[in-house]
Amino acid sequence: MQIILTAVDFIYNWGRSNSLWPLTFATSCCGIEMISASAATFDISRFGSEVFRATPRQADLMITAGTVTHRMAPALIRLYEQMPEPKYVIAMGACAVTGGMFENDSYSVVRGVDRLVPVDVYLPGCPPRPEALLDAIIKLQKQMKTETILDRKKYLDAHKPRVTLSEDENCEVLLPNEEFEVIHWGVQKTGYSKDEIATSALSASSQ
Amino acid sequence: MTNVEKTENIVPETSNNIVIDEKFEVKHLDKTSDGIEVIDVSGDKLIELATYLKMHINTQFNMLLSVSGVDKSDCYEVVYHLFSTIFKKNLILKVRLNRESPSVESLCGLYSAANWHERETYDLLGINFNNHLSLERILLPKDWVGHPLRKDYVNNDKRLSWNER
Repeated sequence: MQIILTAVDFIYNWGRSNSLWPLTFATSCCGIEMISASAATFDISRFGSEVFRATPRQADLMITAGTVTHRMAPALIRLYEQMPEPKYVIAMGACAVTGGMFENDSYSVVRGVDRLVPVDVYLPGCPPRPEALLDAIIKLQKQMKTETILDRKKYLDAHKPRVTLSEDENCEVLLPNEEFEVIHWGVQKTGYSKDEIATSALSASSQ
Repeated sequence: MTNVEKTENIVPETSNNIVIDEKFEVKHLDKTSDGIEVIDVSGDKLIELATYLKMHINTQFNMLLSVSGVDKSDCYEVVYHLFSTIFKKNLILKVRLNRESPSVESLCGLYSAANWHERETYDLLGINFNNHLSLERILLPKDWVGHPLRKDYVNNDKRLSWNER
């Protein structure tokens, strides 16, 4: 059984990892490097990723190229949820990794997309060169080739968005997911009290 | 376009236009470093002055380049950049507003460009534009608390605990 599964895994992973179709998600200057990586000089199609999809339904990989703001965050989560499993995320550039130069005092910038969705490869740089993006894709391919179908349940549990959209349509601010607390670099920092959030949401709606 | 050349010769410097000074009680501030005139006007007279400047044949400021706001600690200031495509001339209007309830008449009806600029100024500085078509937030989520570019803004929204530094 194990031998058969290994053989199936090999073919399955080989097929998946060599046809990683990215989602076109360019929010700032890193997007230019991403476009450049797909053009003739750097030629991302050597690694099977040249098919940039304009719809999340056909994409396996989200390259979050650029700064993500509070206003953009719900769109990012919605796109991530619409992608079919198995799905992967590359956080491209300093802003997507930690918030970059907006990390200190900004009121509007999300301090790293790992606070919104789980990230597989962190790609620093401001912006990273196209070669660095190709390297990140190769690293992701290597990671994918170590996976097995048996771990799929575990994988699905781990790949949930870490914040949620409110059911109230008047609430556009993202709320912390109850399963996750405050997350920074994949580590939970401090907890929060649900009552506090409820009262502050109430005061916001009354204003 | 021969008309234009003629009128250009007779158009007075806007800052020296006696009609504007008397009718709208404006105050002239120092020019900017690149020679653009700056006019301080009270909030009540703003819409009349802007209408005059847009419609009068000797001024014809038919384009609104930007609306922005400044927090001056003791007051708020709204800055309008006007441009005349006929005379190729810039003009800056400044309106000072009190801190307690900053509100000024909207220029939406006069310049359609004012719509989103005024929404942004409202979003970030909390200045109310009366008679605006839809004065709601444009850059931040609509249930955001506070106006971030105010000097006394403190972000203590517990819902955003997931994004603390």
